[in-house]
Amino acid sequence: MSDRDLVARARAGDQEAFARLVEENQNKVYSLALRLVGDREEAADLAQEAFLKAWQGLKSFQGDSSFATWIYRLTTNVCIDYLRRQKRRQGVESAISLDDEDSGWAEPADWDQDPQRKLEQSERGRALARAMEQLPDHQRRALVLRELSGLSYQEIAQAMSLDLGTVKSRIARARLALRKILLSDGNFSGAAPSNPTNEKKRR
Amino acid sequence: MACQHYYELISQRLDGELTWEEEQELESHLADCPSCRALAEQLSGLHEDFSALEEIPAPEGFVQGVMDRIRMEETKKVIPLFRRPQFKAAAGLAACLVLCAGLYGVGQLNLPVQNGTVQSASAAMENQPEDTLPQYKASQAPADSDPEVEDVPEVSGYSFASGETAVGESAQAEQLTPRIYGSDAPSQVRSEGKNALTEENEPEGETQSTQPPNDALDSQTPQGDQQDALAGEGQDDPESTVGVTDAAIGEEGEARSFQNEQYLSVTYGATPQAPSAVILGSVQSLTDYLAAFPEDDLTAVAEGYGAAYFESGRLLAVLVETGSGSNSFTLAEDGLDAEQVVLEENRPQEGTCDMAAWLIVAEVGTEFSEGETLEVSVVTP
Repeated sequence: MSDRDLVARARAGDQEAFARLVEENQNKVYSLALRLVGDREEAADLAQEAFLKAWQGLKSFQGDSSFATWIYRLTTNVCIDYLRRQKRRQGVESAISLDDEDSGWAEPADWDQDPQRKLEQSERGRALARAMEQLPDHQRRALVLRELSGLSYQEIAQAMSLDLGTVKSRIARARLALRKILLSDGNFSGAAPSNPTNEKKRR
Repeated sequence: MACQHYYELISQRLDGELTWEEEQELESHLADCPSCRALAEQLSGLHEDFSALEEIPAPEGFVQGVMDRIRMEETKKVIPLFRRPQFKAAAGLAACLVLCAGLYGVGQLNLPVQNGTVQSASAAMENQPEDTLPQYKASQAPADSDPEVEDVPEVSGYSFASGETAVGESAQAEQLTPRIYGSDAPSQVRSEGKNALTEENEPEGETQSTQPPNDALDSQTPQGDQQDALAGEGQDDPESTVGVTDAAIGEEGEARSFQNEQYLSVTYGATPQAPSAVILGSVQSLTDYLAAFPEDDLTAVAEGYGAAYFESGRLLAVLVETGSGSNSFTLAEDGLDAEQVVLEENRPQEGTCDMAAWLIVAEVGTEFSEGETLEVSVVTP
């Protein structure tokens, strides 16, 4: 049964159909939540909340996007709400500690040690997942909102109450830090340095 | 050093967040700088790897947890019904009818029993043994809003005799006073609500035994808290709130004064402790108290009372929840004494059914001491 069918059935009140949708999307949604909030229990809770909201909002789900995309968006919003609450609860103190912008750039060293071996995609994905875990929370969060949730810089700034400049630099730092971690693990797969022109065309 | 400026642009380019000028600037730098070129390629590879980013498996029982929560939510939609103003008003009206009927009955007592009265009684009632009849009727009366006079003799006996009524053997009946009669109806209704609630919650109970991890998660959520609060309230209802309330007004304890009340709407669900009333006697305890409402901007209160104030005054903080956001509460005049605080709940004709919570702060004197808790009673004028 396609997602579309499942959605239609769930919308008509079929909980079984909805359970299937949850099952198919649970890992994706849970991963996103965990990467955003950094706490397994909270992540599971928020991911469940997102599905609950999906169930409640099924009527308004037009099916313009896939269910997966929609639930991803819902999850992002639920997590952003949570992070905002958390930030408010922790008050000014941690608002400062969240921003370590003056800690300086991590020097991207080891140009020449860049390992050439190309890992299988799944291996790269795993290596990246491990590296992500080592990122400081605020960097990982910004990068996840960009790379996984697909928010624009402006949206991230708004969601996290940051100014645009902070978002830009935070995401850049996160990428540099990831690169550094992957390099030191010997897991950096990067793009082959042989096609720089391709890069230039990229927007 | 100069390169650092471009790291950010390289990253921005991956996200399509460069202006045309920045793009030009970056291009010309990359043309001259092999190390930045290499970096750009590496970061681009990293960017692409996100499409293959490994997923983290959701914890076991995740799906079941979601479905449990969905069922819980569906249940919750039912519970507030019993707390809705319309419902309470109807219950109150039914109670009034019974009371009126009772008063009417008192007037009729001296008259010979009219044929019509007895015959209009339902067949079911006729079949009841004499001694259980009053009790049966007592519980039926509010629900059957049929204003027939059939209940008259029994009802008046039930409500106005003290101690030796037909139901005198039950402890509850001994406490009844004429006044409480009116409030008995809602509490009857409420206990029905409680039963419904208990039943509805059974699946949840099963979950607790079979799915401990999920349930632990559930109970941490605001929803979980609300649910608990509701369940708790439902169970407490019969002996607290309504019944106790009316009788207590103005009878025991001397009224104490309060002033400068502030009525603050706070986030529902952050208030599992409602209804509650506590005396705050220091800046610290005020701060701690307000910390329970991270969602709400209560700085006006926090800033309004400093150490100087607490040298000669205390704050009364009352927290109540209501089934409708359009209900409002007022501290009843003379409603404060050493033991309790009485709130008047005002319900508009057209109420919304969203939950709401109110924090009421009032200045009181130093006859109250820090940390003291007071009973909260809600009355509907």
